[in-house]
Formats: sequence, C-alpha cells, structure tokens
Amino acid sequence: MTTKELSTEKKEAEVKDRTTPEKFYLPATDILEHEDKLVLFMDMPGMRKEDININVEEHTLKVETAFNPDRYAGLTPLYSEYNVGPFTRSFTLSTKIDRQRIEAKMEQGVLEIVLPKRAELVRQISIQ
Amino acid sequence: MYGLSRTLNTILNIQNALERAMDGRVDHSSTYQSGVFPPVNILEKDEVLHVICELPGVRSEDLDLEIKGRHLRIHGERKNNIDEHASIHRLERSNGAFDRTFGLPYEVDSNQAKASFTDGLLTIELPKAEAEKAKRISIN
Repeated sequence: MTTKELSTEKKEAEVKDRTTPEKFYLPATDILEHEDKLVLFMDMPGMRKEDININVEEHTLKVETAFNPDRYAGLTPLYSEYNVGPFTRSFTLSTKIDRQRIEAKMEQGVLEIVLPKRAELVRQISIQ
Repeated sequence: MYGLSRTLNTILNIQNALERAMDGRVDHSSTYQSGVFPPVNILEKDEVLHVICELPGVRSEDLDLEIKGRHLRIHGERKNNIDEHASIHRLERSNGAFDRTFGLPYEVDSNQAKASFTDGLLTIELPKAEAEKAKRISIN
C-alpha cells in the first residue's frame, strides 16, 4: 500500500467519524470459467447488498465492503473462532472480459460476480 | 474442551497481533484460520448465550440444530453447486457435509431456544437454564 492510499483512507475515516481500528479480511473465493464467462463466488458472511462496493478500474476488479457492528451491540464475547470486520479483495481482469456487462448479486452472504467474455471472442467455428 | 479452546484462542490472538504489527490494515487473512467448519463465536447478553456461526450460502433446509444438556450440535450440508462443465481456476470455499458438537459454558433452557439465519450468519439464542441462575439470598 502506498502512502498516498493510506492518507486518502485516513481522510475517509475521519469524515465518517469512525474511531474503531478496522482490519480488512480476505473473502474465500471460487473462480469458475465457462465458455462465455467467468463466475466468482465470494464468501462474505454477515454482509448485505448495501454494504458492498464493486469497482472496475483499468485492469482491476476491486470488491470492498463496509462493516456494520450493530449485530454485536451489547454482546459480551465468551469464545471466538472467527473475526468480524470488512472484506476486501482485488483481481486482475483479462482484456477478454466485457467490462460493460459485469453483473453481481448477493445471496445468503455469498457474492456472485459474473464476468462475461467479449462476445466477438466467443465464437464457434464450424468446419466446412 | 474449554481448556484446549482457550489455548488455541490465545495462539490465534498472538498470530493476529503479529499480522497486524507486520502488515497494517490489510493482512490478507480470512476471518478464521483454525480449520474448523463452521466457525462459531459465542457471546452473551443478559444471561442469554448468542451462538453465531458463519454459514454463507447454506440453505436453512440443509441445516439441523440439536441441543442436549450442555452440548449444541450443528450439522448439515453446504452445496456450492459447482457446475461440472466449468473449468476451475480457484476453489477456496468449503463445500460438503459438516457436523460439529461443542460444549456450552452452562446449561441452557432448550425450550426457550431461538434461531435465525440471515446474510449467511446463523444466530442461536440460548437462555440460561433456571437451575443455573444465581439465587439472591436475602439477609434477615
């Protein structure tokens, strides 16, 4: 992470008046390739649709979530096996992906991102 | 079981502290490392245990919960429905059947138990059994 990124993040934190130190976690991800598309499945338990931000910038697809601690308000932890917090993960996109047609949906804590391949690249050639 | 869990937890905490010290905000670790599935957090509020369990993508009809004495059993199946025609680039998410039983810190009233399942998080609320609650003794 560059110093520039760090300073912008610090500014954002101040604007939202957040005081808790946050650490980002890496969501477990499955990547499957079909003839016409790539499909990503990311485990992000506890996250809702509105918590997620998906960004495509140049050749990078970045998924970042906010974390809402309301679920844990007033609870005293006794025993812990997993950590809670926001998620983030970036992927490098191939030039074969059609950026305009990327779609995503969120269901039961799993984010599914469909990355269609550019139509002109998916063509069956029939043998004459 | 609790002695061991506490030791493991201490080790996990040390690991996390080290990662934080070395890496700053993004440490590229998952939310859990202990290898158990599904991972649980046990919390408490007003003598009610809240057992919260990460089960992303699992459907409630594929999930079974049982309570017996001081033990809670969570078992079921995670069906990720990996398309057999697709070629796999990366498979990090756990898949398949799971079965876990763990001890609770005290006896709970199973008749008052409640469970909800939203956003891939299963929350089980277990109130402390009447017999376990501390009795106030009045001084004459």
